[in-house]
Amino acid sequence: MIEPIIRVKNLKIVYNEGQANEYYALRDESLEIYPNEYIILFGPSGCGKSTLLYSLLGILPPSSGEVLVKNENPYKYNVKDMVRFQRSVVGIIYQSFNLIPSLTVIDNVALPLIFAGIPKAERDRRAMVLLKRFGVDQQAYKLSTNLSGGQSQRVAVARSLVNDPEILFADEPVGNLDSLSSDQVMNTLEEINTKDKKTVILVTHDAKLLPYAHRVYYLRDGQVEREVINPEKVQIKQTDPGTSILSEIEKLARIYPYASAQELRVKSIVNYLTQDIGFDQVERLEKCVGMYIDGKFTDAGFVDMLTKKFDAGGPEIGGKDANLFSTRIDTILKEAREIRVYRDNFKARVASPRQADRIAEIRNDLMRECHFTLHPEQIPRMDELLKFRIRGFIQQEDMRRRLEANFENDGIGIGSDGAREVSRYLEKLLGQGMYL
Amino acid sequence: MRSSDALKLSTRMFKTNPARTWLTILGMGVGTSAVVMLVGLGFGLQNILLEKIVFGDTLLSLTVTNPPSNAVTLNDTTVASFKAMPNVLDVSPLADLSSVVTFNGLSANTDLQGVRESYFKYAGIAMSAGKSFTDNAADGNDIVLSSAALQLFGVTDPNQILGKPVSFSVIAPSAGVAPGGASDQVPLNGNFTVVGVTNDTAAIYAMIPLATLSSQVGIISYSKVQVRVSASNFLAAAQAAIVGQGFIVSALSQTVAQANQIFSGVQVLLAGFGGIALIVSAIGMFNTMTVTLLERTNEIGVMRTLGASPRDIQILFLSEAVVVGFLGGMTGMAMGIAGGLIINYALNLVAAHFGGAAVALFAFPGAFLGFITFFSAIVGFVTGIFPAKRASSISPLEAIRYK
Repeated sequence: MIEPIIRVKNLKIVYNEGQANEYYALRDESLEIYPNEYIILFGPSGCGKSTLLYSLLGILPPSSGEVLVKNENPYKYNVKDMVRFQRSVVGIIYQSFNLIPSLTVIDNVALPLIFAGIPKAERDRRAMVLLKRFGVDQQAYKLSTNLSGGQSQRVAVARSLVNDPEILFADEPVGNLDSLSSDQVMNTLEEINTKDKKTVILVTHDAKLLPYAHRVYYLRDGQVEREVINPEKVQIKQTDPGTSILSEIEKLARIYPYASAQELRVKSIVNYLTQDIGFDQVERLEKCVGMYIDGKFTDAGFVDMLTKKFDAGGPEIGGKDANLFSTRIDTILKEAREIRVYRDNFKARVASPRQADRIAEIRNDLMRECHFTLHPEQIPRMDELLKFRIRGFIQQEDMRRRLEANFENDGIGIGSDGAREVSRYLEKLLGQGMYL
Repeated sequence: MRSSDALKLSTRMFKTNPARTWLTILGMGVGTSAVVMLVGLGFGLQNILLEKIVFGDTLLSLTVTNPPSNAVTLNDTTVASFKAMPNVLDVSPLADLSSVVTFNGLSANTDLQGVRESYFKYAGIAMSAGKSFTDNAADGNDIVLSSAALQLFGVTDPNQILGKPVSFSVIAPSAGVAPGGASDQVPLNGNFTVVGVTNDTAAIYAMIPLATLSSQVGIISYSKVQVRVSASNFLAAAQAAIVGQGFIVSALSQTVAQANQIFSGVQVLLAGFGGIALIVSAIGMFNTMTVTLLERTNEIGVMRTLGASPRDIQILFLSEAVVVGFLGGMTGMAMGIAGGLIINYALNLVAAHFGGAAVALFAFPGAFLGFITFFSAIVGFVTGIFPAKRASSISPLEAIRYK
């Protein structure tokens, strides 16, 4: 049985205890982290995840409860032991990098060694090895202010490793980075976990990062709401078979990271009630549609993809449905383009006879898709309404009410159900058109 | 942390904030320069006074004179008794008589002092031209005049009178007449030649070898005796012994000590005025250090989480303060010395215009400058203590979160 490297027992942290602005950042937290694990503390801002991280780092004393790192309580250390702890056990990287702007990159990396009194030649050598490894050795003699965000964070990672600590803490390490730099830094951290065998504890509110972890602690309002094991990774923490199974709720949690367990259960049921396909299929279908509207498939290719068996990685949609999807997407995109052009012309104040034709085409498409017909006297009014909605003069709700209202009352009079259906479809077209 | 690294980390402000750093140094410099200039003025004044006094033999000599009561008199017996005292190296008496000196056909009353060669050293008599005579028989007819005596003969350049003959007649009590009664002018035999002129512009006298004088005139008593002791710590004992015999004793060393004491007081006063300026600068520097502390709060937090001990942080702040203080001291010294020299030069220009002699009004002894160097670093250190303490005691977490 492996011993945990970090043990948190009934940890409670209260800011401004006993004062009017007393705030419970952590309530009765208990968790265990094992050597060489990659742990993510996940939750929305204010959930206490950073508080927990800083408490583990040894700089935020608990109000009650206990933090044990390698079976020692850092809050019982004297100054000398604390310095040793910070020099050899823990390393940290921050969201805002926190490089010292007045020092060169190499001095920033070597800073922990400077405090440890290591001679310059030796520390520069060690810093350079890390800078090379993370691909920032070209910047070694620049001031740290001259780096890009991604470079800065890689320098910060190098700095956190220069003392060769056992545990690496990362407080929102990619929160300030573009997605490319973010990927680079996350892969670096992954490598540090797998190759360098360091325990990595990462705090984030970004659900994209969750697959990197062995385990994720979901925090909410100062408490661990649930602990989720990543089935895609070989676990270090030993669990008896059957103690945790990967259910649909866990999968849903990836899609809706901030939803509580209760909300996820509700989503699961509603999905079953309203849709013929499950979340897995929805996910794959979304991928296919995404590629199709990007123009990466022909109609036939799209249908092929949709009908692909689930085991072969496809969404496994029936052939008839697949064809229908294809034609309906085409129609939607076509009408969305009409709306886009109409709006562009309207904004540019281009008076074109084609504008009226576009409205007519959208009207006809609506009638076809939603299966309703209009009398000749209703048509001008319908066109007028469409013009108003597309130009943005009236809201969706106004539109629906006018569609439903009787002709005598300035409406179209297609009934309540019809009005809802037409309005819903029109909003889809509008939405597509806006972001085409 | 190594001291070279501490120095490197604590001089970053020259790169990150050069303007503010140099202004702080300049502020400290202005304060220090006030101290340097004012105390330098004190030293200068002291030197002007004391450079007139010949050191060495003069400082180790006691001047013994007869008491007003004439209860005891200085004569060969007493001189011999002084010489026999412990730690007394030498004695040199002065016999003086009223005389008439004749030069170039002009005669004037003057004080004729018979002395030995050593008297010049012990009494600290400085020559403005020529030299003093020796105890050699060959120098028996050499005499020395005071600058004041030259004026009697209308001689302005002392060099003009060197080698010129003069003659003397001594006014001695008539034979068989009690002291204070009638007296006769007795010419001194010999062709006397002026070999030197003293720089004394106040007293009119001529100095003649004692042997020459005593060979022609009976000397019953001396008016002054210089007693040279072997070392300065015997001055007091010798003085007490001679005073015990009823004589009046004065020591130049005491005068010098008193003058020095007065000047120490003057310097403390001047340094006090300068010190006010220095305190103002130090407060300014303290203020800068406090602002620096606020600016660096985040950095301090980061450093603490990277393994910097509170002591490391303290050292960084203190060394920064010492560096600024030290450089302030250097700048202040340069400014103070330059200021003093410029003022001196200007005053001397004015003095020369009005025909006065050039003086060095400012003096900057090496030891004093060394002290200022050290002291300015200390002022910097003291200024840094409080910010350094605060920096090292700040909680790392609060420091990281400080924006």
